[in-house]
Amino acid sequence: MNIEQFDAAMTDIGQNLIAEAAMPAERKLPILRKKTVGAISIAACATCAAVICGAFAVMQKPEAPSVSSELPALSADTETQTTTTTAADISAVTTQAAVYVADETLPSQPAQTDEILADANESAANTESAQTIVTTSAAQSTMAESTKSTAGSTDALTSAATTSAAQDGEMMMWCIRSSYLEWNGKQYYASDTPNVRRYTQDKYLGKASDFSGVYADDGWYLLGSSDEIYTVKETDTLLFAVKPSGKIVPLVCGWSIEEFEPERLQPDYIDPDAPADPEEYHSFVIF
Amino acid sequence: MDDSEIIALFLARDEQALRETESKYGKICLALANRILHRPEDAEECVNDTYLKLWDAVPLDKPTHFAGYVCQITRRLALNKRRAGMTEKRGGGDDTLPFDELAELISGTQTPEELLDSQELSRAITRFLETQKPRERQIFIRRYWFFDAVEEIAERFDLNPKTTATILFRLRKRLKKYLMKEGFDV
Repeated sequence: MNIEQFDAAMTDIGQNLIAEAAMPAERKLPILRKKTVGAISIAACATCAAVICGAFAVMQKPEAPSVSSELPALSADTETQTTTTTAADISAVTTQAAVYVADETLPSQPAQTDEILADANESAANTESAQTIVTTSAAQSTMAESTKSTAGSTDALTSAATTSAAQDGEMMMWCIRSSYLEWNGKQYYASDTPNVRRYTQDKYLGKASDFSGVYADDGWYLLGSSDEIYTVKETDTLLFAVKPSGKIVPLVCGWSIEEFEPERLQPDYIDPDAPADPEEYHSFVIF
Repeated sequence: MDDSEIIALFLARDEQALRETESKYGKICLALANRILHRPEDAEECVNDTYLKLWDAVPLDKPTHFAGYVCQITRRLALNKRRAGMTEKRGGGDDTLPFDELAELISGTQTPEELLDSQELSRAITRFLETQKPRERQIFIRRYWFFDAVEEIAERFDLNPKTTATILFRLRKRLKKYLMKEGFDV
């Protein structure tokens, strides 16, 4: 076969295919179902109802709200951190979080916002005082979960997250199905190569079931439909899928597991607490 | 105007058909011809030839995918013009179209057995592309049919250029495997 032959053959390929490619391309945006957005909005409203009412007066104050926490480097284990903020912060933060989910682009929003869980009872009772809020990487997952935890179960949520990895009966097995999901027109493949400790979990995008792709709730897939998907701070070529147990599966953009080059994903950030042998984080539990 | 209405105008020998075709597909045809010929005046001539060809051929062919049909005529005319130009230049290199990427698919030699039916090869490529994911086949066609640059394709599909190149690389590998399986000498 020579060039002319191949090119003549290419010219004569199906007109339906040519017509399809001639049309403007469909840009795949993250698909968040209305019901998800609705649920999150309702949850956010429930959480905020008392806070917003109480905090309204505080929000009139000139000082800018501030969240005095540095994001912790995310680890396979859940970390608990206590931080301080004002009621105004909480209401602003919670409202923004709902907006983020409705806005499918999620470009460059403040990172801390959706990491905050507010205790609504306390905030309603004492709007002017600083409040203690609890952040956990597992608790970042949805605002709906935030609502549950504000009913007084934040500790329970934290402890459940910290211990789940040990209690879930880990079972190591080979995963032969290639799981991936599509976000912003790119495919993110589940991979066990990146060391998740090197990255910081950022914005919540939705459940895996809200995206198109290949995943399932059985042992042959790394990615499950109920996994929660997050961006990471250091790179846009990686997403985190956080399993209900808190376990993290990295999703690598654009290239498959066998073509993955570890150097590509090395960010500047180096976790000082990272274990000497990162291999311990290279295997994942199949649920 | 809908494609079927334009075809109806051609069948009725109404010259409005040409104006409607130009308004709907003029730009895409001109861009395609430009990518192949790299000379605006030649590209424009090529597109005008396309309309003439359409005027004669549509009533006979009654195409079902008019967009593909129009682009196909432009591509054929542009490639012929390009080859004619290269022949005049005697051995002018063909380095502007992405044929080097297809080197793995093209042996360069042509034995008598390889004077194969071009239509059979077209059908095989079509069958292969139809089994691929829509987005991936569109990327392939944009690159090797419309001759878009990888960066343009990446922008069109909102992808990273590296990702686009990887997708193309995989598709070429798959196509080669498929054509070999189908008995083509690649």
